[in-house]
Order: sequence, then C-alpha cells, then structure tokens
Amino acid sequence: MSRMRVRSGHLALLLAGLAVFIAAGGPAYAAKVISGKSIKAKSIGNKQLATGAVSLAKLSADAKAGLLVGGAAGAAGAQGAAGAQGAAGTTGAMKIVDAQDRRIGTYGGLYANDLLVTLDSGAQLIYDANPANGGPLNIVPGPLYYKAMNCVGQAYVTGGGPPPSIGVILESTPIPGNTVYLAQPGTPLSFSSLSHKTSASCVNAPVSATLSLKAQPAGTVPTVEKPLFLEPQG
Amino acid sequence: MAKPVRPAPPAPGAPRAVRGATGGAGQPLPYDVYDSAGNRIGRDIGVFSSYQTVLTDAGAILSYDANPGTAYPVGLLGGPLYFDTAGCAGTPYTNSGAFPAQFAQILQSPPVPGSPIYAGTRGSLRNFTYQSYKDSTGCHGGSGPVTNMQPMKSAGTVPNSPKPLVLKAVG
Repeated sequence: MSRMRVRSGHLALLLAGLAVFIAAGGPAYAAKVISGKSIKAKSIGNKQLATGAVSLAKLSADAKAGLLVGGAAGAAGAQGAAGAQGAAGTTGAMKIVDAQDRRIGTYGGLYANDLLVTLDSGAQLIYDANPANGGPLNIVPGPLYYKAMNCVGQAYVTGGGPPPSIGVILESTPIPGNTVYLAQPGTPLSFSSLSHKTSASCVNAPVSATLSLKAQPAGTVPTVEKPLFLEPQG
Repeated sequence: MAKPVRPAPPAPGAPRAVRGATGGAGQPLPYDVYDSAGNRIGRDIGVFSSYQTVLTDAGAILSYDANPGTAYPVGLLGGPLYFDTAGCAGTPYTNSGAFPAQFAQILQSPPVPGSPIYAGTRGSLRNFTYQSYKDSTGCHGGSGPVTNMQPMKSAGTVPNSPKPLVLKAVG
C-alpha cells in the first residue's frame, strides 16, 4: 500500500507539471526550443537512435558518398554499326575555286571549251569563261516529269542527252540559289506523265516522258565570282 | 571517411555505340605528265580541244599538241599584258578570257623553251585605264581603257619538253 501511495504521489506531481507545460504553449513551445542548435554536438549516439530509425533517403549526398563504395563497372556497349562507304575519289582530285577563293567543287574536266565543276552533291555544272555569267550554263533545263498530278511524288528527267551527271536546272539562266537536280542511277522508264514542272509552274497535262531517270534535288547553284581557278585539293 | 556499408549496384551497360560516320572520299587517282626524257611537266588535267593540258607546279596550265617536232606547248594566249602604271611595273593584267584562269599566257611566239609564262592569279576582274603594256617586243607606253582585266602572276618559264608526252600515275 505504501508503495502505491508513493507512486500516486509521483503521478500527481507529473500531471501537475504537464498542466503547466500545456498552459505555457505545449508542443509549439517545445518545437521552438528543440532545434538543431539545441542539440549538443555528439550528444546523440547509437544508444539514442532506434535500429532503422534513419533511412538512406534521409542522408545527405556527402553522407551517402561516405557509405557507398563504387559499384562494378557497367558492361561495355555493343560496337556501333560500320559507317557507310565513302564516295569514290575523283580523278586528279583538283578543286575549283573562284576569284574570292571560295571552293565551288571538284574539277570534273573540260567540257568542250568550258569547265566542268562537280558539286559535293555529285551534280556537275558547266561554267564558261564569260565573266558576265555568274551562273553556270544550262544544257539540261528539264522539265521534271511526274506520274501523279500536281507535280507530287517522284520526279523524273528524260535521259539520252548530256551525261546524266550534269545537273538539271529548271531556270534557263541559272542564278545562285536555283535548285539543281541530279538524275539517279537506274533503268530508264518511258511513261505518260500526268504533270510536269518547269521554271514557271507545274502543268497538269499528259506528256510522254521517254527514257526517264529518277531525279533528286542535289543542292543549289553556288555563288561564283569568275574567273575560276583549278588547284590541287587540300 | 565513413566506413562503407554496402556497394553501389553495378552500373548499367553502356548503350550501343552510334553508327559510324560515312567514310571519306576515296583516294584520288592523279596522273602526272612527263616528257620523253622523263622530266615531269606537271599534273594531268585532261584534254582541252585536242591538246594535252598540264597544270604546272608554278600554277600555269600548258597545252601540248602531238607534233613531235616541237618541244614546247602551243601558244594559245599571247598577250599583251596591261599595267595600270607606267614602265610595265606592278601587277600585269590580261583580258584573255582564259578558262580556267591559269591558262598560260606566253608573249613569245612560238613559245620556245625559256619563254616567261604568266598565269591568272586570284583576284576580281578590274576595269581601268592602262598606262603601259608589254608584248613580245618589250614594254610600251600608252593609255586607254581596258575592261575585265584578270590579274596575272609570273609562273616560271617554258620547259624543254621533247615529245611524246606520257602519263604516269602519281604514287
């Protein structure tokens, strides 16, 4: 009984203290008081922390760095696919530059009394000596033929004339920026086109396209200031 | 340093490498032009009209016919050369219309070995009033307007090149 009385006395004292604590502001007061600054350095040791109380996610990056050792290196990546074969070399490997030292393309030879320049796209342009002609000569002015109306889909150019490497330019007097088309290797087709494109417009009308090759855009007419110069590459 | 507690998981394998870039253009197959004595004249650049054309190391294009009786190029361009100063001083110019611009301009006719060669050099065409000009007989005074003048440079002298000429692959 005496032990029970003593305990009851302690309990009464504890309840009285709790009443004062709540009256003084309760938890808010405690939160103000117990901050990081209030904890003495090294005062919380292993004994004060419950097992598993601190998760990895709660640790700082520095702390994690101290805990983790480097993982095994990842497996090497698979070897990449082989690159495409480069373009064939050009005979002589000479380049053509203009009066302003701009590289126009590679030397494609002499075409009659004119100069054949191979653009990087593979299309060849013909330049004469006339300094008034800033653009190339146009010996393949198109038109481009299409199997569909409205000049959509694959374009074709008739073959059988100059070498198919000569660029096709729709404008009769080419100027820098005009599109150059290049005939593609393949079997020539003869068909009735439903539309064809000239420098002026697309014309929807059936026209026979004889021995035609597919044509793809191959760059534009470059800006050139004559005269042109022939120099070794590189 | 904190004691390590566990290893990091292995890193994932590296992704497959990207496709390699397209290879460069194949090696060129140039030819040099030699005379019958084995002397190199320059680089073959093809046939112009019916002439074998050669780009010399000095930057001039010489044209050779098949005539075995001549050991020099044909004289396609003979001048004169114009100067915008008196006494044929400074840069020479020509309006030959040569194409490419390095076609040799040789004042002597025929262009025998030892004759000076001029060839076009980089620069815009000019219009000006010439103050002197040079032909095969020498420098002359005079004045007059000239147009589309191509600046020229000295490009060596005509070599003695006994025919026939032969092509040899470089390297």
